[in-house]
Amino acid sequence: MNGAVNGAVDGAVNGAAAGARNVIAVDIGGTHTDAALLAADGTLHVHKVPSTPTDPGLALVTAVDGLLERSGLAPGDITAVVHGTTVATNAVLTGDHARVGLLVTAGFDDILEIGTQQRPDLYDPWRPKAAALVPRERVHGVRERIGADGSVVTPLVDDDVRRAARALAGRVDAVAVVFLFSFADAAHERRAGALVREELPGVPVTLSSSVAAEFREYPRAATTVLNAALLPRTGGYLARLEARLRERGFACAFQLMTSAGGVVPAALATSLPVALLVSGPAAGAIAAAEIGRRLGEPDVVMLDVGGTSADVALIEGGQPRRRYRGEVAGLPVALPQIDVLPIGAGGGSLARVDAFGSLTVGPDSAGADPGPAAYGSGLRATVTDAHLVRGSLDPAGLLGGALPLDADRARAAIERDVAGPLGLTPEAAAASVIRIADGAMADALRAVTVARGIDVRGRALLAFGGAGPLHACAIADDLGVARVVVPRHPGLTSALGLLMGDGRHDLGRTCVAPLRALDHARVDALIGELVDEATRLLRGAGVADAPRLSLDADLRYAGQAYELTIPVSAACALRPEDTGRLETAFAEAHRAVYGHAWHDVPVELVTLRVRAVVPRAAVDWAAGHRAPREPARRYRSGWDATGAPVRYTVVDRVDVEPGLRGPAIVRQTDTTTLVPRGWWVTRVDGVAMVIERVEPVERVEPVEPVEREGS
Amino acid sequence: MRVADPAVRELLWNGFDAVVGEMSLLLKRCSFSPLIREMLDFSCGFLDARGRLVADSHLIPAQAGTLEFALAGALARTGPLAEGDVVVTNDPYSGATHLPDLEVFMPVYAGGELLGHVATVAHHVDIGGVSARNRGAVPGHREASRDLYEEGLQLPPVRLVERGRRNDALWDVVLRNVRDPESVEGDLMAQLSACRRGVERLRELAGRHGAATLRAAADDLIDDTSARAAAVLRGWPEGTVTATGFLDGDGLHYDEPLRVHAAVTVGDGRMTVDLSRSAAQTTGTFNVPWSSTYSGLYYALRCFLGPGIRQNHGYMRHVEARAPEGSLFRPRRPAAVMSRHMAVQVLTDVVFRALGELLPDRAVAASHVSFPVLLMHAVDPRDGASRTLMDTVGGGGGARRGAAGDDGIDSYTSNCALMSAEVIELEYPWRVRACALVPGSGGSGTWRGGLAVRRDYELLADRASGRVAAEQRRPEHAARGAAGGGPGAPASAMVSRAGGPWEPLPYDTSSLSVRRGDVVRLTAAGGGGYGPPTAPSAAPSHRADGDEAPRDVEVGLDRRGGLAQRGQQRGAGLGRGAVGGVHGDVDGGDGA
Repeated sequence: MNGAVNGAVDGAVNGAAAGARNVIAVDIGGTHTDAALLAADGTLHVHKVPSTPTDPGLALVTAVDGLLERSGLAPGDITAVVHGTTVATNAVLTGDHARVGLLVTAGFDDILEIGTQQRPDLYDPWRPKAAALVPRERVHGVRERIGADGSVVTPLVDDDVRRAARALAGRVDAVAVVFLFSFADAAHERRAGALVREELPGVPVTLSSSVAAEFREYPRAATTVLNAALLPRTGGYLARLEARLRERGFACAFQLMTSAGGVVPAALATSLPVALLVSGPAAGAIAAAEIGRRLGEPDVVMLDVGGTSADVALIEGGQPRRRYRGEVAGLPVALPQIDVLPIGAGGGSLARVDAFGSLTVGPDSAGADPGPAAYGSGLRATVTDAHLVRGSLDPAGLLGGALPLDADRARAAIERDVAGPLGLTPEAAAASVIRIADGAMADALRAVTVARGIDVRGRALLAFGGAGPLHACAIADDLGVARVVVPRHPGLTSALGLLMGDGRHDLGRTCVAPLRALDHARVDALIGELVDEATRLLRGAGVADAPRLSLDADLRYAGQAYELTIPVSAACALRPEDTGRLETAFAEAHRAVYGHAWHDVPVELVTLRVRAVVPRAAVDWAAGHRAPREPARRYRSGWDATGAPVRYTVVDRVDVEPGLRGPAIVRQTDTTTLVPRGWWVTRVDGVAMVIERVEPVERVEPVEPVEREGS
Repeated sequence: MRVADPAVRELLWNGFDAVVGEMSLLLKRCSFSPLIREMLDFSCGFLDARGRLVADSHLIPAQAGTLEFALAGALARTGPLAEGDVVVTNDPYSGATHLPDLEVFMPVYAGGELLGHVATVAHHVDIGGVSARNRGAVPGHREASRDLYEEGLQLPPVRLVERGRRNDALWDVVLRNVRDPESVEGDLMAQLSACRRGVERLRELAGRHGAATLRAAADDLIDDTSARAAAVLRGWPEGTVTATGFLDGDGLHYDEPLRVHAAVTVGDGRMTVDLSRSAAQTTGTFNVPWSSTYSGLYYALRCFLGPGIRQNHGYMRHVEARAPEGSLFRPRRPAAVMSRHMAVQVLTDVVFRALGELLPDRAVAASHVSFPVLLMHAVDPRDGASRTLMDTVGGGGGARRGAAGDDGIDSYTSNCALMSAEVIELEYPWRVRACALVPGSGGSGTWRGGLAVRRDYELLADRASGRVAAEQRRPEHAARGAAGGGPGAPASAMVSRAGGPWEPLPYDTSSLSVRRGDVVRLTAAGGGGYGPPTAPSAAPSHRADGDEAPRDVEVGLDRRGGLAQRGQQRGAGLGRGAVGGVHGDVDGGDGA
């Protein structure tokens, strides 16, 4: 592949926002760097170039130059460059961390090693627990103690801190400080941080009270240590990129998208890299929300399927659903993030039949290298190969022919790995592989929706990524969803999301107390601190100076351990008269999620959360849609989900018109959409293509089970 | 296979796991007892119409293994369950385990056809009975015996909900007989909601694939697992291996150790475990209900069967236990069973050792089975409420070829998470002064044993009373090493009063009473080492903790490789697991 594979497109030119803004987004992935420019007039330009892993800034500059050329804008016209990066994620996945020193309350030196005390695999006594991120010789206990109420139990012993810092000198690239109950009073952590900076000038220091001021020491410690481990590398990376942009004459804001889907200044991202861990999927979810809004669908289910994995998320009321705890590479991350559930199912997922005749698909993947058998170097059968055998992928190749596919190799792999062992035809075997992959994705979607009491029927499924639109209609049928949306540029959705994110930062602070007996003076003071902090951190993140603030509270019944987040007020205040309303709202939420609620159990406040949002300018964008040409339809023989023969209509995306009926295959550069029988296209424009079910679902009847005398 | 379409089969198998997983998440998140919500002492499952386990939640093997027995016991008493019925039981003599573990079952009907049963079992914070606070209130008094009646309210299988209507009389009786009715009601309700969720999801699965297909897929899953287990078992050498282990006492009396002897016979695709040479039923609290005996055996077998075995009846059917009635592992009503977990853990350990003899490549050193527990009542000065803290800490895992034992884990059939110190201090009048690994507590070896955790609790209330317990305190019962590795350090329980020195607590501390500022220290046992200790290593000991003088082993804390032992373990390689072959006897010399 060389150069740009996707040209500039003309957009609908209307609804330009007040305060002219030309924003560039750059999403640097493992193989491609995607860039998009949203001009003040609503025009959207996109550009895709190969990534340059050894010097990611090179691809960024190439992509940005391409956009400027197409748009006719100069660096000085650009108001912001928003970046989505996997630099932090990759560092975690590959274990490529900085050397961290940890200062912890004396007596808790082994906090990382003990962890949750749970074994990695209950039934495998040969599998060891993962090593702690900080080896024990770089952990130092410090005498100090704050009580549960924030009072000082043992004053901080400065000498302990200095001694520890000196012992770490020259042996660490960053230092983390985690003291018990620092969420109740951070004074000791702050003092210790200052002393470490004095002793170790130039070494970045991260405090648990600044990263995640919430209770439960182990997840907080793990998050803080991970942040420290990412600080040097991420900081250097962002500084180099910014320098590159400055060299090119960009004087504008340089911003990043966080895991929570907020756009923040590079300075904040530099000090809080752990907040970037799921930046990419978050951008996808933000784009999904924006596309849904544009289509008048505030509630959509998102499915992003790539080569090795898929991400699913839920958009409600125009906003991606968020959560306040997550996990990355087996480590707890106690930070707000968009509730994206990753699953090991993608185009490269391997299909195999074991000695007992069980067919499984994934979670291991052929990845990009060697890739599916059809790519020419891999041998093992993958989901992509199954699609080729089934006729749902075009043998002419992907990426507009830039990536040719070898149908014979795919067929041979499916025959050898699946059809042979099962005694099926290759087509039936391919259909089975695809159905299992569909089922894994549908189960993941159920986990983010129905498992939380959310009915998805009546909502739309928004599918993107290279393989999402191939699976979307089948998954929709499984879930009882009757509408599928495929964005105009399914391969550039993350870049689009970067353009659509509001400036946003969330801050939380644990403050456990019965709702009916709150010390409102203390609560007010706490909210005030959170507001000041969020406002300060967000400065420079958006068009407005003052962020829009709102307050949420994590509540639970006294005695429970897990909370539900309930909105308190847009006025950012929690007053005594709010108590009754919050209790009712909490009980309703509890009933919706768990199926029951209590009347006489007291409700407790656990964590206060302030959300600061600097809205981006609303722009009525649309991307590259022009009237279809003369229908240039072709037909291809293939097989449907059950392995029965079918004739697919094959159309290029630019030629699709509403009314196209399945079975059909819609081709475009960055994806292939499968429209099965019973579905038809109802809308095509610069925002998306909408496919709806026209006939009731005919259940795919499996072979009738034979009831035998059981064992 | 009854379901010919491999895709549908796989979809349903994964679907069963997803349903049980969703039930578990719901139960954890809306429950009240810290045992459930923090330590995850609960399990969920799906059993077919015939009561065979199809899928479980991978949480507490000790509980999950009892589900089939408890459901069979329930159905025998109540007859078939109608749509909308929910049955509860905690009766150790009709299939359940110990009284605080309430097992709840609900049938799943789709279109009038019984698909199976969903199940939850959870450890409740209290189930009535004689309070630890009152027990042994007379100083110097020692209990002669205990029985099931003292352990709490017994619930023979009975309908908690009948055709959708809550059995209010039963709820009233239960809640009137427990000390913390709010928690018990909350947790029972959480169990009920989890069951209802499971029923809904299974009905949806049946709606998508057909009820007959769902049932057939469950049959296939069990048969598939059974075939896999049989294939592994047939690859093992046939014969009988025996192993012996010991408990320090019976839960009340510690004059004599309690013997656990297993003769494990492998042949014809089965594993038979004869326990008839184990101790007789005791007057203490370590008696093991028959279902729990099986749980320990299921767990041990599953570990040795290796990957690719799903958690269901399919491999369980290859296990058979033998023990005479009236014995430790098959007691008669009304023997007390409250602390049966201690004996189940030793049983599991003994079977691990026997299987390690049969399959030397897979031998592992022993993990700790000490399970230290603090269970104390105190009035919280912050609000005047009476609160009971129950906490336990993990010990060392057994080393294996190629890796040191895990530090700080719960072991074998138990899988309790560590309660956060901040949670303890926010909710109870206690301060956790330290929670640390004990240097040197892992057995010596080429790969050292895992380190034990120790936790110090300072009382912030005027006074507290209750019970502190820990097994495996005798050095001769410490976690054995394997292949020449040394044993782990034993467990201990101590108290420091008014800033004074550490005093070891006797076993029988049912009546422990402490005052403000006193500190209770629980220390679990370390894990056994693997392989002979190697030459002294240059790895420095990471700190000198002063108050720990763990035996005569000095272990440098090389956390990664474990090649850091210095000094010789006294008695290392003496008999522990070193004798015997396939038909031999591998009884350790310890305490016999």
